[in-house]
Amino acid sequence: MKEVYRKRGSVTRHENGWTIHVEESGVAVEEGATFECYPDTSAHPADPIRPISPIGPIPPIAPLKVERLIVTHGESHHEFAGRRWTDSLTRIHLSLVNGRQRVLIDAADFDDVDAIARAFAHCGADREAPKHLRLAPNVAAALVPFVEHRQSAGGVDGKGEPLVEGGTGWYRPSYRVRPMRMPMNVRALPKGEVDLTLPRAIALLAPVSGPRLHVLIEDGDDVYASVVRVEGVLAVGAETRWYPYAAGSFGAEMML
Amino acid sequence: MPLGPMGPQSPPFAIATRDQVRANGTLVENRLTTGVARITGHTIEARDDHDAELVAAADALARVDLRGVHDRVRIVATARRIGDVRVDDVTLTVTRGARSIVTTPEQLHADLRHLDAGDANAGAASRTMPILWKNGSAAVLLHEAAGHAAEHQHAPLAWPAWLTVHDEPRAAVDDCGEPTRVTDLLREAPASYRRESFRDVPLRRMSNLVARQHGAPFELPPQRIEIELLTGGVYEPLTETVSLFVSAATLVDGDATQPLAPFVITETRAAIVGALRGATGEPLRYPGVVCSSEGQEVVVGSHAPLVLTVFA
Repeated sequence: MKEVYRKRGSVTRHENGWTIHVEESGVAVEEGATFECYPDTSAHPADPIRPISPIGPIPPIAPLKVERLIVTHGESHHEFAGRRWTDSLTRIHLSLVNGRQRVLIDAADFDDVDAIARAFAHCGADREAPKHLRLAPNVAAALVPFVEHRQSAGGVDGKGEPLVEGGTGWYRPSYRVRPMRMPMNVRALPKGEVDLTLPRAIALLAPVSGPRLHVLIEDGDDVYASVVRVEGVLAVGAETRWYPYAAGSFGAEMML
Repeated sequence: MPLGPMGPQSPPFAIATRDQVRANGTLVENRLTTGVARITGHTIEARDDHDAELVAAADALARVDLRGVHDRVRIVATARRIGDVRVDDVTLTVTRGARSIVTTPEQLHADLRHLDAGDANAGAASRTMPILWKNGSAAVLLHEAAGHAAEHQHAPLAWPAWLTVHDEPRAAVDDCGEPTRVTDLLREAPASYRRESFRDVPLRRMSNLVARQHGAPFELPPQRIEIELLTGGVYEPLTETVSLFVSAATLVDGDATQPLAPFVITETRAAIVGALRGATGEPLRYPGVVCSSEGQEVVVGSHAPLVLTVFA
């Protein structure tokens, strides 16, 4: 069966002092085991579109060094099997450096940045991880794909089908990427009660690729780096925020 | 990464890329990308405009004879125009199990032998055993320890006087239309700006690393590791640490040889400088390196003589 997907989009990206406006339209065709894609410039609008990011400028973060700052805002129009839909997306990727440590922030806005930067500026020596700790939602969101999770209902997948609770969707981050079937906009289900007196991991110091976290931990006035081996999730809060990890991930306050 | 010097005079950058994956000769993925970028100050206007001449050139480059090749092969054929200058390039990445090589259509069949080396399930390496970097593989070590450090403008180290490491771009102009020049990677950053696509910011990147030795004979240790092939490497700029992923190597003990399981070498670049014991011969062409930085993949030519290292 031949499947044809069309996408037209505009992105404005602020990358380390540059501003890049990108306009693209393309077609992806899947037939059997073969995937093909190519640009389709006939779909371009007559006048260029310049998406304007809804988020404001980066807050001051001195005395830390900004190693990398990428802010992306895009608007896209999609068509597949007679279905048409539009979406927009805003993401930031920020890496801050303090000595030989690097904090990584991936989010949909700058809301977490100030608190993380203030703490990171006072980071002390590395320590053993506490036996139990809390994860802030931005940290928990990166961990969710590696612990028990489920897809959240809402929105559509890369073929325009509604995302249903507990199901899977077609993840298609670009028309140039062959879609993959996987849970999207995942979250850990709420359970137990998070002990709000525990030390709290507030930021990632390295990308997460499994149940091992290199994190910045805040414990009262103490701030330190630590490696946490995740052996079990004891509690998950109910309030969630979305983060741009993989096919989307909702973070909540989490207790390990 | 430092900002580039581009201004209103930068010529338009147009590119067409045919990117195909073939498995046992069968086409399974086929991508065409084409577009133009125009730079004004630090703003890039990028659009996927069709350029028939560049698309035809990329398609012609992608017609590679893969008869007799039963591995997974990715072909990336690129035709770019910077102002009035055309630069064409085609790169093949051949993958067999956990091993892969980066090569050209001309070198494809000769380079396939690298995929036959070693046995992934045998032996274990010792960190302090002397290492003989064969087949130009020392270029990967120096790509990370010298080249990336230079890109990050890290302070020069006391490299051995017998060693030179240069970036020697093969194209006449870089991706911003500026004439290319040879740079000494032991002392300065690469001069050439490169970008993977019309959507990307030009960055100072290596193009073609050539390491040479100038009178550095060594005695071959009877017990040693001989490295044939690496899967890749990483340079961590905060700690100035290099990690190298060795995929094919042999443990040599006199006349006896034993293939080694894949292993990782992690050392600071200062330790790498201290480990260089000698080198011999002309630069050997390593199959190549696909270098990823700031989300952009570019191919870097790689050449180095036979090099001996001993880590303390």
